[in-house]
Amino acid sequence: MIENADAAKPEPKPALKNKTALSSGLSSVLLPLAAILLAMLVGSIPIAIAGVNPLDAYRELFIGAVGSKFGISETIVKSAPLILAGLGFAFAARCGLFNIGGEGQIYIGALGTVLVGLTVHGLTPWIAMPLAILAGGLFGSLWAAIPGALKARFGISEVITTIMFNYIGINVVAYLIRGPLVEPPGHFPETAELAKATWYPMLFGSRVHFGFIVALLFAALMYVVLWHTPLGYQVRAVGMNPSAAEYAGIKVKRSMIAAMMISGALAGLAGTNEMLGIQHRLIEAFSPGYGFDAIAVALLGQNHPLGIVLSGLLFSGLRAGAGAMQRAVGIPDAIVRTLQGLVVLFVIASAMLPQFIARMRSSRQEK
Amino acid sequence: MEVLFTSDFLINLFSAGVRLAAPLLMAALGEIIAERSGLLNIGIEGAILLGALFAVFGSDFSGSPWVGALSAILTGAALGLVFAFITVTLGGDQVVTGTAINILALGLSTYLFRLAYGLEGFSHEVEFFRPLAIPLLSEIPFIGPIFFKQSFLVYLAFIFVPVVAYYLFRTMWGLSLRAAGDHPRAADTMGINVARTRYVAVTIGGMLAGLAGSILTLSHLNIFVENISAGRGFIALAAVVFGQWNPAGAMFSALLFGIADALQLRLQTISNVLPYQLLATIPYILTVLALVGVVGRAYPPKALGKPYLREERGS
Repeated sequence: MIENADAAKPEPKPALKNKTALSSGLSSVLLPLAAILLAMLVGSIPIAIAGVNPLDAYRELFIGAVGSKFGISETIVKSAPLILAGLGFAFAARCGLFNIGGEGQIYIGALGTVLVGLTVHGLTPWIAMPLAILAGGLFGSLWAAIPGALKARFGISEVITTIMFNYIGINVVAYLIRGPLVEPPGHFPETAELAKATWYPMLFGSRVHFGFIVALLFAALMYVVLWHTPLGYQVRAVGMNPSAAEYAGIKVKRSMIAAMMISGALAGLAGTNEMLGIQHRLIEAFSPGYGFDAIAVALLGQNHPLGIVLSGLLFSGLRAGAGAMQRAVGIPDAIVRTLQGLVVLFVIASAMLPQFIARMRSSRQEK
Repeated sequence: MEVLFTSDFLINLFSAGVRLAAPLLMAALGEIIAERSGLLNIGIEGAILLGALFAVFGSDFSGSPWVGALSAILTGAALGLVFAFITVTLGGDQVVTGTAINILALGLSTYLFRLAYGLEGFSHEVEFFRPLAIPLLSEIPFIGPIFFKQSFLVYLAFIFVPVVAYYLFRTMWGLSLRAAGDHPRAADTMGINVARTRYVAVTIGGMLAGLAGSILTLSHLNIFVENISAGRGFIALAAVVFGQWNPAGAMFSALLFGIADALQLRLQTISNVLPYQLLATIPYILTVLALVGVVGRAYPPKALGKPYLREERGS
């Protein structure tokens, strides 16, 4: 007996999960592109409401994202947390789980990294940095393990619990940086600076740091795990059809918990990225909602590591360009998240469209 | 700590609890209607948020909170229709669609708000629904000030409890709606238009979620702040499960969450037992505990979350 709100959920989601005739080859590139174009088309309505010519706004956005060395480096810098958290969402999604707790896992992952970074003074970077990275992944994965276990053990909807854990995690971090972890004498809600040995090295004499390489490495690793290991096979089998997987002897509950933990670890590493690459200390509100953006990144990237790297770069470009657009034509940068919502809506709609047309045709023939 | 047990404190606490329960209840009632028809709409978080903003717009432009509430209802209806089109007509995944609507509403509300009131993060105070003491009833000791000195929208949420229960369980309309959510194919065979039923249900659900948003801005705070919904849509989803898809059950769970919220807000000001950031986690922890507590006793509508496409018949 299925117990909870998500009796609801995962009927197979062909468009998002496995390869159908549709998502293969050319259409897996064309559909996301069409979704982006349609989102920009509809997104031009709120821009026009502001009294700005949408073409001007989009041009400023584009120039801001890739029109200068600074823009390009910002786009790359901001892509790393989006790619990592996007990989996280996708890994759970491959197992049929909807982990929308990325934002909380980012904060708790950052906490793990900072706990190491505050204590490893004097160690060589070769040990300090991997330790800090490991702690971020571990904390993120443990934070996600709780909703994962509640889902596997009791069938409680992870859709609700992961959101609740966002608010809990963010508040716990807000408390810690004012209380036990505050930098003396405690004037500001922030921790002390992390040991320099943990900092990601800078690359190309720009703001681009090692975190981008880390993100790419984990994308490659996720590809290998999902398609070339028994664990990945089990996770995907559960995602496609839990009862068939169970029948085939796969331990469904264990796969679910493992998938949530890996998912949380990847999101946690996005928090690690912000600590070691940008902030170098734990502060409040260091993530502008990367955990939510990651959902759109993963869905546009069709939950595939390569797609996620590309859509992560696309959305970070939007984010980098939005600041420039806001300065140039006065369009609030929140338009970016509006566009993300529209993109996801159009991704779903366009994926369903061919089947919809086929149904219309067949019902017309019946008449 | 003795301040906790004075009758003034308790009246104050429970009356705030009722007030804070109202938006959760309103949204949960709408979600019960949607889920009973077979649609799981987690986009109510977004409908609450965008409804809250348009309530402020409506009240600000017209000077009347009634226009504000109406704008919130229309906003929620629009989002409900978008949800219905993608999930019912196209057969898209309901959880993903709801999430997209939440992301869209978060972006759009922040965008429109900054456009209208600048980047500062506060709207000015608009005309709102003032508390309305009900003659005689509000004179009853203890009960009176808790339940009968609330504002119009709060009363409305509680009045909707028997209304929704009546329509769901005592009318043909409710019977067909529940049939669409439990056995859509059988309902279809009986001549019920499943798609239309679900469209209507989720649109009404969106309207109530929008109205829930207007309670936040026209009856609680009287201003809009970014992400004012703060997960209330998801707490309402949990209230539906905890209330076992019944309006009365949803009312009790909303009151539970409301009173817990009121209590933690009061503890923030009167005690230094726990820092306020940790107190603020209480409603969210309670929501998770409530879901654990109802395990094994919660039976959702049988076809909840599953698309029903007529051409699948007989295949």
